[in-house]
Amino acid sequence: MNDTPAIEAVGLTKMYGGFAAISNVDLTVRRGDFMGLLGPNGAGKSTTLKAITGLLNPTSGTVRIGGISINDHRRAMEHVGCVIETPEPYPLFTPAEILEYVGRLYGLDSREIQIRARDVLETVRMWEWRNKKIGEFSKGMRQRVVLAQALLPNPDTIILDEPTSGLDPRGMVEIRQTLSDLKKMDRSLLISTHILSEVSEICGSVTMIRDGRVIASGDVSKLIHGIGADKEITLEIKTLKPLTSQAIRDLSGCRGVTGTERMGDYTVKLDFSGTTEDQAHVCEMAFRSGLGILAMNEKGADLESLYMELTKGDEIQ
Amino acid sequence: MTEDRIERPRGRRESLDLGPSEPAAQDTPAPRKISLKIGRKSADSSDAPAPQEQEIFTASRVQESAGDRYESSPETGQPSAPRREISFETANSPGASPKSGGQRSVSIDLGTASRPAQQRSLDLEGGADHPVGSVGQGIDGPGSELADEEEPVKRPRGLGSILPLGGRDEDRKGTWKGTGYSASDDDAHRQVVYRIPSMMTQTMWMFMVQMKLFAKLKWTYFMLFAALLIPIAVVLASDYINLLLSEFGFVTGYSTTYIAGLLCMMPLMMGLFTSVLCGTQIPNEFKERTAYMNVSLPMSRISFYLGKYLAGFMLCLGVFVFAYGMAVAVSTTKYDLIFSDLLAESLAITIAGVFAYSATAFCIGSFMRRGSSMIPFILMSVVLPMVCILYYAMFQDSDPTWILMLPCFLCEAALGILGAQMSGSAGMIIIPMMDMTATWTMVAIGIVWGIAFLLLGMYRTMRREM
Repeated sequence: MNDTPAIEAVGLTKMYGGFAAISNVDLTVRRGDFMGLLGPNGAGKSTTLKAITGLLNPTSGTVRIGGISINDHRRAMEHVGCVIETPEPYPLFTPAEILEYVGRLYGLDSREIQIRARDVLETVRMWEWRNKKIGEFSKGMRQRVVLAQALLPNPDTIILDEPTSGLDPRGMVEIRQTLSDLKKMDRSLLISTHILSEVSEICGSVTMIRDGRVIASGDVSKLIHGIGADKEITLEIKTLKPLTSQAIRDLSGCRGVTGTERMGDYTVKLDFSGTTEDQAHVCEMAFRSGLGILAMNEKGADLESLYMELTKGDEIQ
Repeated sequence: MTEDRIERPRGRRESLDLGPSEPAAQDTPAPRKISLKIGRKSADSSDAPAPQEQEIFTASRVQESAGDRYESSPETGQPSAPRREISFETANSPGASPKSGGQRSVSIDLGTASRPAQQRSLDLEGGADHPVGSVGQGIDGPGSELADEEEPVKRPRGLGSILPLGGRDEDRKGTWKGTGYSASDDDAHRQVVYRIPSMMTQTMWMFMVQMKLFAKLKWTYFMLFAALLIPIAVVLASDYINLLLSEFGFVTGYSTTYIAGLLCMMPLMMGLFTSVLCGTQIPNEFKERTAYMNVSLPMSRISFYLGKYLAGFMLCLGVFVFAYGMAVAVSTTKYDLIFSDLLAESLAITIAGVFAYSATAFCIGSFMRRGSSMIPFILMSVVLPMVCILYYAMFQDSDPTWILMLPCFLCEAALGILGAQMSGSAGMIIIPMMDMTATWTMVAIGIVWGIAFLLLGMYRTMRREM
């Protein structure tokens, strides 16, 4: 099995005069892994992605894609598809012509271009627009075309900078579905986005950047539970039958439950700060109550809470 | 069970075949057949009843479980012969053949299994022959056709089923053998690993794409029209044109001066056209944000730079050579004798001038993120000639003729070789002072100048941060 990481950035630093846009950023995307790159505006996400893809030269640090240094740009990007800095395709070209151009640069012949272009244009729902000039398209449509050109050459690694910006909700869902399908094909993905639900849905790991530095990196669930262990969360339980006092007493007596709040006849909120085993015990107790559990939601131990916790101090004044 | 994650073949694309068109009979591999017993009796050929009706199955994905399983015969309760369990997702095989022995068994030819009706259809146009390596064919270009699903299939499917299977075997490389793929996998095209072509090939593709972009620009047609104006103006207003040329001394007993008269605006046009075509390419890439798409592709910035430059240079060169052709054609209506050696020398100087002007404009453009395309024009056609003329006038005593060899005067030299005493440019007053015996030195200086600016612009583009 190939253990070479899909993307490996070590000690990335970029200075603009005396200002450090990014400082000692270490980022590793394992093969087959989907990683989200999160951070507030101006944190250095785009700078990091540009340094990784060779759009700018870092002041120090190394970047390897598939084990190949980015200094050898052609070879490093050979199996990479990327959308960085909201690029635009040539407005005088049609999507078909753009894909043919990109396909030729990646080494596809005309038949392969036809097949792959059909596939990717259908994926991004631009097939019927394939022979229209891109200059007549809306922003979202141009965004789809750019995404299609990134997917055209069956890249091993995909690097996307806010790929769903400018898309309608349906488009967002479809792009997310496409990216999820890529996971089954052993592709690696590095995506920078502000939409936390996107990261939660498709990414297994996340790196958070703030003020040009990495503040958290790793598996999403481990990071969440890492803060959850010291943090109080809320368990919301919805029942089929009306809540009884006994049931509420039983739940509040569970280890880790610090408070209960009845939200009507069928919903109860528990303030919880115990371990995962304690949480499992609460679930068991809820089921044993005989009230019929419709749903049990956990709030506070999610990516949004993690993000808000780690980016404290960046609130709008 | 086959893995959900499909192992992708690595290595060169040549190891993957899109399927032979019409393999020779002796080359057709024997289809892999798997016999399975679906019936209830044990396999005993001596008790075989009449052959059963042929069963039809379509196998879209065959899964094999590990190991053998034993099944009890309901009649005897004894375990029947071990069989390998094969499960199907769908059912329809043309290759089924009945077996004797009171059993229904099906042979499945995995190499020829047909796809179910929900196979995606492509409305690609048909055509066995299509040019490989041409730009602009598009997805609906010739050379692609939808495979006939009803046609009896005896060859590997997969990509071969949706590609035109004409006689162009040279388009396919390698073979499917040993790749581990099922030939009936419709998604096989998503697993292919491509290898980027050489830098030279990528430079060529960049050049062709830029030429295609030029073909869509109005400026290109304006330039060609400007060259066409030469014969048009002569035809429509020949008397007036001849009068004008006579006034300025272009009408003599020699055809070359007449040609020079028709090309008198060339210095200005060269500065203008090279500035607009070559000087705006890189700034436009940033203005329209297409540079961010190009630079992130697996293409060297040298290929990007050279490909775009060569397209601009070739177009400008084509326009001026066309203008020369028009001027020569028009002069043949008035003169019988054409001095081809002088014409050839003038054309060579013009080519060097186009190279120097376009390289300068391209280099200046590579330093600009957005900005006026007039900067190279003003520099090469106005500022530099004026500075050189002033220097010449101030230091006449020290014979600074070398300054008149700079590339900003190459167009004037091209006209001067043809006998012109003036031109429609800022440098026209130095034509009588130019040394026409040193024209090849001027060409060499122009080429060196062009190479230097080209390298400077290339260095700037390679180091540029996006």
